[in-house]
Amino acid sequence: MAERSISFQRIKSSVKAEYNAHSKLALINILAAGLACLVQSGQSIDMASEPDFYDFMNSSITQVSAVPLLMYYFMAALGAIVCAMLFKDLSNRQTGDVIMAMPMSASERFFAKLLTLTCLQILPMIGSMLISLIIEAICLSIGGLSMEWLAGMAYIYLIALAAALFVDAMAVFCCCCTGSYAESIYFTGIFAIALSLLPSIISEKFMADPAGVLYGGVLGIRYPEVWTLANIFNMMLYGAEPETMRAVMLGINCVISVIVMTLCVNIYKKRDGKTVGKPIAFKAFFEAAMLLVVFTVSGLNLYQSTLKTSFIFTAVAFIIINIIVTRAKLSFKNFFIWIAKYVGANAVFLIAAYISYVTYGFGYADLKPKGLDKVADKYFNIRMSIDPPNSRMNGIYVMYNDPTYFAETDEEEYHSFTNTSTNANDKQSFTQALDIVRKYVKRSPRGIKFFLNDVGLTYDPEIFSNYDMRSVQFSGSYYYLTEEDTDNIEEYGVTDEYYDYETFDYVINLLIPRADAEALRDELVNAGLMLEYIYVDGEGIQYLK
Amino acid sequence: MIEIKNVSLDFGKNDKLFQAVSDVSLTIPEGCVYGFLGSNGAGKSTLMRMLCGIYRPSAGSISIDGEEVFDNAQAKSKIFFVNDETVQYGSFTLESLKKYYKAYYTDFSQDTFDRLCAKLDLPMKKRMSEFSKGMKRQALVIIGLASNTKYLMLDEAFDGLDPAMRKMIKNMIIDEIYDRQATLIVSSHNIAEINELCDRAMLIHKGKLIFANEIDEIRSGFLKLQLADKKRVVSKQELEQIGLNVMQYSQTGSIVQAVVRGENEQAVNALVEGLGCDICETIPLTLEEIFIYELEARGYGGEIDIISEN
Repeated sequence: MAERSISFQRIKSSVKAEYNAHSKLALINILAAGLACLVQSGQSIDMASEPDFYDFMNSSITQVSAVPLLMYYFMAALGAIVCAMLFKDLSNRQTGDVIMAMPMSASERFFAKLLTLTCLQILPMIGSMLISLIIEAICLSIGGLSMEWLAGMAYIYLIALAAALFVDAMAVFCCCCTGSYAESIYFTGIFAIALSLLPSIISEKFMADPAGVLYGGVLGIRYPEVWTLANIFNMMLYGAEPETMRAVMLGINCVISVIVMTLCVNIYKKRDGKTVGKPIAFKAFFEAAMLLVVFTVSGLNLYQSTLKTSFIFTAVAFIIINIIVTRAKLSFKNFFIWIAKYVGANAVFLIAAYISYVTYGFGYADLKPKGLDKVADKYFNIRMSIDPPNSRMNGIYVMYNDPTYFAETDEEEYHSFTNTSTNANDKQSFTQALDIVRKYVKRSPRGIKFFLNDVGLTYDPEIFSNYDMRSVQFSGSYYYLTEEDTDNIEEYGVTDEYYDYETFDYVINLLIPRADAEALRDELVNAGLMLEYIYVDGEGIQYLK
Repeated sequence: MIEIKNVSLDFGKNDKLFQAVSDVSLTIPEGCVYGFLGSNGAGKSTLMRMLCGIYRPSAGSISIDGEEVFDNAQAKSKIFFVNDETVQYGSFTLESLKKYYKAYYTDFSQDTFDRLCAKLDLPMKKRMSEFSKGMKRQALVIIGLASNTKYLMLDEAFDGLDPAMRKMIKNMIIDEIYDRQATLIVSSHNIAEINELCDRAMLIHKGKLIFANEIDEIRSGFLKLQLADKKRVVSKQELEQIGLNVMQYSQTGSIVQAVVRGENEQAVNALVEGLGCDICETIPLTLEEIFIYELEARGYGGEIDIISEN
């Protein structure tokens, strides 16, 4: 009877053997982690001994932690190499002969590799972070550092750990699906970048943009903001202050990465020596990767004037990757097959984009922004503007830029309304105004010709003259006020200078027929919800009431 | 005992399908020294890789002592495989390589390792990338023997060794294998070596098994005939008409040479007597001659009749 259960003893022995066999990688990671710990601890001790200096540095943790973070990010990036080395049995025939013939099952081999990866990379990282935090805590206990500082450090370390685990997850997945060293490395790069951008692309380009709604901070921190590597870097640079929600999401990131890595055992078990050395072990993986590249690059350029250019750029990249992966020469047959696949992938992309367009972002427009309760104890303002469509240069409808139309409409129709509240009781009014605006969200005409115009593939000047469209932007923002600000308001009223203190905002962009735009304006005015004045371009401010 | 039942292995799909091993059935008894013979690309190494669980058979089954070998740690713990490459060990020293394998093979014998290392005088602290090819081979054979597995598989293991070292290593392997009644499976292009080392052998060609048997049995199944007659030349058809399976036929003047298969010497002599030739000799073939004639007879592309194992 065959023994099929997993033996932890065999896994343990294998981890020991593989760790020793990759001792150089271990050394590099330990050195990087050690250096990070040393620099961080040294800085903490130094700051604890200079309380005046500490006051300044307390607000810029990321600056103080630049060297440690650089080391941790180096370790995270090195994860791709470490994984490729550990999974060399899948990319190198000679190594495959040795490893696959060892007395272990595929599952045991896989989990031994994951544990070796943990020992090589993650444990030195976590160890270094914990030692730094302990030293910080000691500094804190003798009065040198604040609790906020300590929490900030822990938060930054969590960001670095999430980044490392994310890269590892992508690397393990790509190693399991590829059969050569080069492919395992650069596909890790492709997947790490594309998958980290994809949630944001879906959220922005397939939901918020076609819905015409940008809820921003009102929804709180959305998951895609945290998932992306790019945003992890942003957080590293700008978001050092610990926020519970972000920390929770980073924790979720770590868990998802570990789950992805673990599930890869099912792919690894399907491999044997036959696919070792083949650039791609599973055709579906390659097709998925290519689809991902198309969705990411085209997605980034959706509703942008760069979409057409990106199609050409992506097509060239698509063919180059195919040439590299298939190790084939560029023949007419291959060329047409690849181009057909590329066109097919883009067709899928455009169909998905079109569905999101006609469904107002898969129903995103129907979502009600959360966090309105936060308005209650904060000052806020509401503003609305009705413009010719071309003036929304930073909005999503940038393709409506017919200069003839603009010239005709410029002087007679530029409206701006602003109502700035100084009273927390206006919360109800704010919600009421929002409800009215939301009724008009789906007045935007949707159809194939609007879609093609909006995404940047065609330009039809007739659209505006036929439909007489107007771009409406309704925005709300709230801001905290300092005690000094409150005193100023009592003395001088609200002035623009306080806008600098905005902390939450949301924007609803509508592209609706002129009649609807005016009806919306009138409804808001008649309800007495807002609008102290209208600014008409060329005529200045005209008070409505 | 290793049992290979109707094993096939396919590479690629559809129009790119290539069958590296085709419907091979074979039994490797315990305690024997088994030789895998075949031309380049015949499927010897592929079959070995299937035996130690590197390749999953596309069809059929391979079992070691009754256990399926693929993805089975227990079955694989009975096998040690030395492949035909050594580059993968470049970063190891012999000492670190020993530690590496010791972690995987629980029966690894430190005594055997020390004894064999002392015998061959290999440097323990030098990186294997600095070893000569022969030294790497020696090191791997030592590791393989010290791993104390029931089955040891050596793929082209004697390549790169000088004749003196080749003999020494062979003796060393045989001594170790004999002492613990282990089974050695060895593949080689060097037929003389297989002839000398093995008690059983099989011949594989284009993935198909040509024959598999004890070496003495194999040799007794092939004969070379030399016939001469002043009055006439004995044709191939005549030989076939009297019931001989002629693999190869050549004629120089009135002398005819033919290689026949599947008969013992007495039976052939009895059949040939009926032809009434002036001179009639039967000469046993060497394993090398059998190898060459078998492959020539198949013309590297003809249909191959499988001879099942006796």
